[in-house]
Amino acid sequence: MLKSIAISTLNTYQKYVRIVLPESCRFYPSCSEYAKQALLKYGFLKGVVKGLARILRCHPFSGKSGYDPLL
Amino acid sequence: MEKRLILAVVASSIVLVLWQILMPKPIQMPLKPAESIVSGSTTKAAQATLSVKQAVAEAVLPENEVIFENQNLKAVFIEGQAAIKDIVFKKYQHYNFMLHNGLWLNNDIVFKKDKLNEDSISFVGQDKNILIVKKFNFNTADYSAKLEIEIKNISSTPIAFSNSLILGTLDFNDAKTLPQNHDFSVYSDEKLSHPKLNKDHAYNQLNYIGLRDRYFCAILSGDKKEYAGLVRKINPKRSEIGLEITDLELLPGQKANRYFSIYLGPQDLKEINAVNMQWASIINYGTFDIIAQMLLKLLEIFHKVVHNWGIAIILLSLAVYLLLYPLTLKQMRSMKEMQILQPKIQELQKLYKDNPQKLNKEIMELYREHKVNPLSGCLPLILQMPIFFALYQSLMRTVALKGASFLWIKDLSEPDRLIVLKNSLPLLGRDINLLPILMMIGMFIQQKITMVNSGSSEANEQQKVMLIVFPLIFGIIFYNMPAGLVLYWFVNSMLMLVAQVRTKVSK
Repeated sequence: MLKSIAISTLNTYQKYVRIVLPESCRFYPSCSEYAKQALLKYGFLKGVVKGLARILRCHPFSGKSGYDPLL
Repeated sequence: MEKRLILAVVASSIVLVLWQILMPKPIQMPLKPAESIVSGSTTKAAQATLSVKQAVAEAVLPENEVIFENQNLKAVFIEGQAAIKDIVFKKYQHYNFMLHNGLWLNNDIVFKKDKLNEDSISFVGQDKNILIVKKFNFNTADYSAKLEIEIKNISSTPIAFSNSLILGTLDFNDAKTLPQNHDFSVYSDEKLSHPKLNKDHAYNQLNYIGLRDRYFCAILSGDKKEYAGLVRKINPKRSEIGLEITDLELLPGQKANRYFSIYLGPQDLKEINAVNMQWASIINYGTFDIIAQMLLKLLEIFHKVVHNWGIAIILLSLAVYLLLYPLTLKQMRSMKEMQILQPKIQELQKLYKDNPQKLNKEIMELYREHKVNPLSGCLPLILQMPIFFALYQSLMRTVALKGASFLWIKDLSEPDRLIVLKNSLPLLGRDINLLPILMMIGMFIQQKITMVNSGSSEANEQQKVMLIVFPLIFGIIFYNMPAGLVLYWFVNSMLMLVAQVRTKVSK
């Protein structure tokens, strides 16, 4: 239930909101895509934690970027 | 593509129309005399004929309204209730703050005006058991007032008096009253709360109760005594807030006095602090209150320097941009390093010409190896959100912008209204607002620049639709917003545009 709400929220974001925002994600797959995969693989709680951890990595001072798949 | 475009235009027109319908329009209320409270059919009939006669002579003032006036304000009292219907603030473009039944003792005793001086007004009312005198003392130096209530037992038996003193009512039946700008505040048990209006509440150890609209507020607290507070839901669109005067035991002929401190004025930190520092907690800008208060402080500092609220807003926009500048700078440096990688990227582009997804992945892999990235990341974007919300709240609410003019804008707290038409246009109404239109154009250009070829034709088409729809939606949302707020966003999007053009050039 919670999982599907979270995933559909992310879908809506990707379809409508992301397009107006300046392109920003440093990674591939993008944070939202990563979060979606994490939700599908680990369920709501762990998925959310994984997604948030990814967002916390996604800033110019982290020194990380590029291909960063879900493990 | 064409079909989608038409669809998008149609959809956005629907939004536009709906917006016009849903947005409250300033409605000129017809002046109608308030209901007579005097009971008894003969007096009512007599009054009816009287009011018909008087209606010709003095139609301006319904007969049961009494006005108290000083240099700051004009308080309109309902005489029979000895309560404040509304207050007009003279130093704020005669802004009308509605209380409906401010400081009404919730009973059916009918009051009469007793004395009216330059700094006070008093009312007397009685039934067969008690006599009540209510005296309002207005301070001319600030927006504070005192209320003294004297209750006397005029019967021959002891009585127990208890009554609630209503601070005021929130009424959302009036289309002008936007729920998001109005709330109650209760400071009790050492903490502040904003009661929900969908049910009744009771509070102990009350410090103060408050009621506010977009710019102004009313605050009430008991002097020398502790009271219990109450919030009562009258109907789904009407709620009142007050405090309880309870268990007043009076012997025959005995009288008792109760004293209250009141603030009736703008939600301006300086004004409220001058009266009571603790009351300043009524000023609150929602979830991101701390950020909003800081932004307003900054805005005030800028205003002190330049003496113009419009320029101060532009400076604030610049300041917020500079605050986030380290991120931009880091990005610029990353850009330079990127140029070294450019030949490698071009190589990849040739290699994966027909597979954009693979190309994307490979480029990202290259970035990871060299620890550079042209993009700043998702976290900075998310961190900006609280600033957005705080700004919206503070620029929407700050009373300082009321009546402040800038360039063609007469009042930064209202839409800019470059041209006001005689006849209302379909969709737009009578006002032609320039700022939101400029902002829409700015957004369109900004998006056009950032648009990337994302490979699949479907995604590209969607982008093209969004290119029109999004500025339109934003334009509609901002169309009737205060000019100060739109000015901020306009400057912000111009700065973003410049930054993007620069990165584009350095690419």
